[in-house]
Amino acid sequence: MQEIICRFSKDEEVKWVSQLETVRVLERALRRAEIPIAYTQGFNPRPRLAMGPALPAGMTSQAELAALFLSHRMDAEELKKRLNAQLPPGFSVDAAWAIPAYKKKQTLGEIDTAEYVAAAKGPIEAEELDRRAVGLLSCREIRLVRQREKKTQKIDLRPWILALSIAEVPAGAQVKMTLRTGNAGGARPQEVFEQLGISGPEWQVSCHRQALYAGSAQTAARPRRMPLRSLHNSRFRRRSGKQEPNMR
Amino acid sequence: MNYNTLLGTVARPCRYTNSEWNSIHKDHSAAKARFCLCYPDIYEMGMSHLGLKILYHLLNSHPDYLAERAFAPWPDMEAALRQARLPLTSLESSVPLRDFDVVGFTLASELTYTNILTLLDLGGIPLKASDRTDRDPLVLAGGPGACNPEPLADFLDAVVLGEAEEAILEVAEAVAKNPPAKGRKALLDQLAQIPGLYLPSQYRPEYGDDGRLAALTPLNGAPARVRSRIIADFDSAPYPTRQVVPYLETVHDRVVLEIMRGCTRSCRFCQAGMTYRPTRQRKVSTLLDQAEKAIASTGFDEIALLGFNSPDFQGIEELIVGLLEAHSKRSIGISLPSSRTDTFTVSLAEKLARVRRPGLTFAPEAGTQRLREVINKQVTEENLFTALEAAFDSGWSAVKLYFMIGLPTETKDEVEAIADLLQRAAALGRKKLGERKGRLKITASVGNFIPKPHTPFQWWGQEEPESLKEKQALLRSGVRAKEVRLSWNDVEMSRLEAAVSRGDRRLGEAYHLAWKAGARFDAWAESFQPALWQQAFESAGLDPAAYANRHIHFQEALPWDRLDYGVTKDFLCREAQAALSGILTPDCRVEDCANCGACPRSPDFAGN
Repeated sequence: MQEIICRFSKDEEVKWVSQLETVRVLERALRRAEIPIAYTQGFNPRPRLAMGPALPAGMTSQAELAALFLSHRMDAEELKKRLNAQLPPGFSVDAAWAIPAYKKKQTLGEIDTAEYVAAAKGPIEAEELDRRAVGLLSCREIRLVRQREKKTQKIDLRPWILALSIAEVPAGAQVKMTLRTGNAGGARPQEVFEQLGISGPEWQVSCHRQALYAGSAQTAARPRRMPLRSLHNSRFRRRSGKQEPNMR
Repeated sequence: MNYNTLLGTVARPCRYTNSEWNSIHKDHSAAKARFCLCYPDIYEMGMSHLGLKILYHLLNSHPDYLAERAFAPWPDMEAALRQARLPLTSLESSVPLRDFDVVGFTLASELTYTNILTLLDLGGIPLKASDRTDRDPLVLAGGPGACNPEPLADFLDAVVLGEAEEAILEVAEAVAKNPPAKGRKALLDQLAQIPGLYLPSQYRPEYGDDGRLAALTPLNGAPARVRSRIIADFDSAPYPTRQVVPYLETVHDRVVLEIMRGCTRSCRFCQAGMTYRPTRQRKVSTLLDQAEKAIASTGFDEIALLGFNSPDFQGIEELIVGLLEAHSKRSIGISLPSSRTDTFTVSLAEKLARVRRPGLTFAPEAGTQRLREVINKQVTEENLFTALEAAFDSGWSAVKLYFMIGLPTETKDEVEAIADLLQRAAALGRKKLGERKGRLKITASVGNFIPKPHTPFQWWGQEEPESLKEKQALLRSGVRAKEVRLSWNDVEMSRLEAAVSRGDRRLGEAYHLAWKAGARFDAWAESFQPALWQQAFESAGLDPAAYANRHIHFQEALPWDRLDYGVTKDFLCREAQAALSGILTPDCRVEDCANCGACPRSPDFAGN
């Protein structure tokens, strides 16, 4: 079995396609492209693929990740070309690379950091947002209660905000943030917006995910993994040259 | 026109996303006839309807015509559009409905009709046909519900009866020659010349002193009867292989391969079984080719064989072997919906289970042999139990059973017989599954009988809601096996469906009132409001029971008498009488012709 990682983007026209639906988009495109994807065993065989941290619906991205498990070896560039020919408008694979055979599975499990840039237009000026951001970063903890269906969970947002900055642009404010994400817990962009007071119908926010990578010290602490980490950093973070969202 | 700012506030915004794979975006300025095909329910329902897919691709495959899609917005989206003062638009080009030449509706279920008014209103089109001017599109309808379009007569300009693959192109040609903007009158006159087109405004209803419909009189030389369209050469009828692939999970999220049309088993409650005669099927080679192309262009992982009774397809085994050979390596599953109840169905399903185990559904419909003979469902209890036994032996632990209550002449004992049958089915399952009995699941879906136009039971009044409720309770208390899951239909909802099914033009007023009072998505339990409908009927001076629950005399005028679906009224009448005497009518593909009038074999055949 061969594992190939795809980094793909989701543009404006497909930003409401949820993570689950995105999986289906990939599954079907893989079948149309006749890529030799492996199938799971059992009553209801499914293509074997794993996704990086879910992108909240309504956001665009240039950094989505999917790990594809192939039954036959294939050149990553060839896969990228064939998959792109079969993806609906708004989706495109910007990079694809094979994971060396000695690498354990669950490559994407190591992803723990996400970078976002957002354009926010609303009743609060950029200058004030900046003051609030500085205030937020100076807090030791940011306690809040997260509600998901029937469950409530008490969390501290602060350690998950790795960087936050506000810039003034002609049409409002630009929010840049680096957030912890992934299986071990993380902050959602929406939660940071709410802390800044960016919420409600009077706000127009468009948020874009710029990068996803394995950034934690944990990985670096294990020397054997160093080459992989550098691989993550160099390839996951490579900018695709796309424009950041317009401030309109 | 852009909804983007609204989409953050509504549920499942993906319903309004338009860039799906295989969706067709054409240039409006270059098209000579522009259609907006509307399905009056949510996207997930509408995108599961094969008829809509066929017409969408058929129109778009013509260089001069264009078709786009629109679905009923969920109430949250409707509210958002109204608040933002935005019109409802087509998906593909985001063009308001009012700017198309033709707005066409699929009439699939009576309980979706209020959504037609929502689509018209939000689309900027006057609700009533009589209020439309040369600035407005032509409002067209078709589909199974066209069997009795009278309740919608006020709102529709024209109705296509029967199978629309040929008629829609003739309509498009007429529109290209006479766009509505250049004069509606000329266009309507031209449409009246197309076979299978029914123009409600060409008929004037008269009502008797008893409040019943007395006559529907043709005006201006309109035909006394409009014959529905039938595709004679079904094998080469257009089938879209480049189907749109939805982002959202739809109800039928797969390649739907239409293997046959029509059914001659003559179940007496079944409208489709009467109105899509004669039975036609595609060649195996055609179907294998269509499946291959459809899978290649969509990437779906399942093929469903569509036909009223797919195991009745002559050559079904050859078809299944061919499909498995071509697709099983890619883990593409195959399913076959069926209303047959026999071991043959199980043996076919077993072949398919090699890739993906399909669900098994049996439709005994009634609890006793007597009642099954009344409805002409030619299945014995022995057939059912041998089929169940075969299913459990071949590894199925879950099966689905369909029943109906309130069938003509049904007694309470016969409802208890359904409960008894389910108990015995559960006992058989426990015995057969042995150690695996914990996985046994029998789902019994119990519908309420609804008298449908153009069926032998069209004259029979539906049982009163209270009485149906009692029967549901009786069934519930009779089924004690925990492995059996019963599901019901709301009795008030069924009564509305029956009233509309057999309704006349006066129901248009009730529709308008109910819609104005907020009736939407009436087929959805969470939004159906019986009290509101009661009020609407009262304000319109109508009694729902007079439409739904009354036995109609054979001699009375029926609102759908002007529509000719092939089967003769004589045949339906003979069948109704045979039902009451428990006389069976055989399948004419196997035995003698019953002279239904729908095909040249029949002595009463009057041509298509």
